[in-house]
Amino acid sequence: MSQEFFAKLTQSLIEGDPDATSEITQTALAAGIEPMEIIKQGLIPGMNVVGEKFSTGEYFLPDLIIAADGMQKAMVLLEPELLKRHQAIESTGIVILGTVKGDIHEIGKSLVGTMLSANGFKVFDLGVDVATDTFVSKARELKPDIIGLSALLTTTMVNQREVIKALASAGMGDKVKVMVGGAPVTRGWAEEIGADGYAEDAMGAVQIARQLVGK
Amino acid sequence: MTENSQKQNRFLIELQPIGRRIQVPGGTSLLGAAQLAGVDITSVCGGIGICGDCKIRLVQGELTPPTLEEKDIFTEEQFQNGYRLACQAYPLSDILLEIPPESLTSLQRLQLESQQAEIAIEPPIQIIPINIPAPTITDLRSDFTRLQDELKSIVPSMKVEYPVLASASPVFRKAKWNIQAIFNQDHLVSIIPTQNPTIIAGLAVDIGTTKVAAYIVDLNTGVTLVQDGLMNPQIAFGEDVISRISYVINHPENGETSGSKVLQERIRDGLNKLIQTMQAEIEQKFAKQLEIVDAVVVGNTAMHHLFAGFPVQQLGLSPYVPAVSEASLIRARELGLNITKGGSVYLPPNIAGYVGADHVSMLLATLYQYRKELAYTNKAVVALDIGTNTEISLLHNRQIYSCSTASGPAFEGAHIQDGMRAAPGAIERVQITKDGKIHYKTIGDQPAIGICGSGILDVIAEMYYADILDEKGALLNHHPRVSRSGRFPEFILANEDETGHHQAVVVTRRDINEIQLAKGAIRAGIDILLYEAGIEVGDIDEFIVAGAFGTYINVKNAMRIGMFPILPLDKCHQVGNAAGAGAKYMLLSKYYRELASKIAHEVNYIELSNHPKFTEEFSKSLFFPIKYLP
Repeated sequence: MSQEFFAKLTQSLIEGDPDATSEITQTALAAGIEPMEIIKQGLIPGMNVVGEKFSTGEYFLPDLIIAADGMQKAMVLLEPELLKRHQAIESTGIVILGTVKGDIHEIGKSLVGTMLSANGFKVFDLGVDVATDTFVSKARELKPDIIGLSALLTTTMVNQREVIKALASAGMGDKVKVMVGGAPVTRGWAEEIGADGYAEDAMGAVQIARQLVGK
Repeated sequence: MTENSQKQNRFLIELQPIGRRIQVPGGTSLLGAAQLAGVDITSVCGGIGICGDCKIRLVQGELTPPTLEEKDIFTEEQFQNGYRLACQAYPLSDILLEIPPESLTSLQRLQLESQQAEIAIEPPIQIIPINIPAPTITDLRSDFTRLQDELKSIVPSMKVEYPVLASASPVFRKAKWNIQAIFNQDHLVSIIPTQNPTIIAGLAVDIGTTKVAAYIVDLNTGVTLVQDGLMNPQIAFGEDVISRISYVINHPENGETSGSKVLQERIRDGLNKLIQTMQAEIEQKFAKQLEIVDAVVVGNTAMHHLFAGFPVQQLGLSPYVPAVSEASLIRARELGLNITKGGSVYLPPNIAGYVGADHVSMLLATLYQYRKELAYTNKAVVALDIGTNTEISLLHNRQIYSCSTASGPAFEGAHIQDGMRAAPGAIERVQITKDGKIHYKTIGDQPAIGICGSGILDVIAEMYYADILDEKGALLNHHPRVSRSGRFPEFILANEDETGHHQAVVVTRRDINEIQLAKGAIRAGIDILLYEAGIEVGDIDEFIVAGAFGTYINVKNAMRIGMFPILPLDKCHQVGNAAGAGAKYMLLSKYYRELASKIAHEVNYIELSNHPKFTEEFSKSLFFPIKYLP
């Protein structure tokens, strides 16, 4: 019976039906299936297929957004259950994410967050218009493996460099890896400002993040 | 060669097929060289190497090696053929290069007509004919005193603009003391001899990020004497607002070479050239002299600021506030605008960083008519102007709600594989008939070479209704025109044997995705305004689509893809350049200038980017809605 639930969950993510994802998750929990298994066998395989289809060009941003929405809806139901059982998803690594100062674009950054979560990263999303100092102080507090910096405007991408500089002067330059992304950001820019990783999209970000933590 | 020695050298860059040559110091990119030579090469991204628009071909000479950005854009074969990005390549010797036609910004069709409503003519400009008594040996008053004495009773608190003061005396004598005094409120801005047949006119300008429209209006009759337009000459410095703001931020030096000065000069020079052409046309047509004594200039907040020389840096950073939001009256000579020397330029107020004076002007020309009529009803009117940023307003219950949404440049042809501006050869209309046949029309009935905004909108709606696309935007396999031979699936709109450049014109999955993002942003904006006003789609009484792109689109297709809500077509109006029309109203009426300030003051501005419902509405709007329309 559980296998059927898992297959349906996977399918609902691939087909982009968040309400179904949420419903099936609920029914599965009610049927006594372990939340960790729902995540591992139902949701993550679904997100992986979506990710693959995205990488091959079959799926595009809308598909990714809707799948992420389904994933999030399911996690809202699952997280309290995991807590009750004192369980936590095995962490691939800790990531701090945020859109840099002066920039309030949310969607791309949040997608990266969802895709990283779906791949086992523990993600702290600091939101948008995040001050350079906040990145530094949060890094000190949370000791992440990676900091992800998003910028969607050519006028704000300069603040990615500011964060990298600030981390270096705070003595964290070699303790934490920085990856950058956003529409105007290029590989060349990432190299120029001394970022450790750059990806064109949310799926690429997952790959880079895995490389950066060596997994 | 080291960077240092590059900088010491000067190289001669020859730009073909235009035939311009320019000497530039080493360390100047080819894009920079073209800009210095006054050749407008498209550059959507503002020269950071990601848009791939500024393609050029090296014919002769040596350039810096290709950058990573270029390697992402060109194939090895294209490099072999000399293709490079002008913004990434720097000369190492004298250079001969060829600019392919698609990299040039000229040659596009302009959209200028606008519905002109009748308004009462009561301009701030007053024309007062007077006879000044000539000086005699017993009347030794100065020229200026005698003018003042004549006008004392009519304009008691008269102020004289310096250029009038400096030039009046010879005019008085030449006119044999019979003159028309031109006042802007109580400022004397010009003196015109009565005996010369002269048309006294005003200039209305709408500075769009892409296109500029200008009108010369007879201030006595309210008639538009001539209208003309040009591509915004700032395009060469970045195609969208943010790229131009970046240009200013990246060129902070003081004086003539500063980014803001350069951009201001570009638009000023463009307008002055336009004024000259329009003036010549009128003077020839009516065999009279023309005196432009007043001007109204509208534009989005960034265009407004760049024209006026206001700082734009803060517009590029959250919270994106304007430097100046109030209406301003600036002396034309301070802006270098060639109208009458004592004249001034009126700039209406801005609402927010991304809802500017052009939207105020559009609201004046459209909503206000409704507002007067509907003052005490609950009717709801939506008015929007589609561009890289789409400004949307909703009038309901005597309230105006406005927002701006980042719809991106896809409808201008950018980020679309075979996208192009509305120029000859662009597919502008598409229909797929029941038998599966594809019909299209190009601008100027030329062989197709690409698709413009209205065409891409059509083809996607038609593909969706012909079941070639699913509701998520994926191409379905069964249609013979869906090709999967390339890296991404694509729809062949025009076969290579029927096009002007002998390459197929295609619509890729990626293009569809771009349009989904654009139309999703627009629809999310509309839905959030409805939500803020507490009404629903069914409550909309009028739906007004203004602006160049909005005039050409098939509104039904915009509804089919979910960009607009589904409404009876008789509730929809395509009104053309309403911002230009509003600018004319403000030339002709003091009352409308007051209204402009009133509207800007009263608008409830809704910031979408941090609106709690935005992400949800946007994600929902990315998909195609249930097929409903016939």
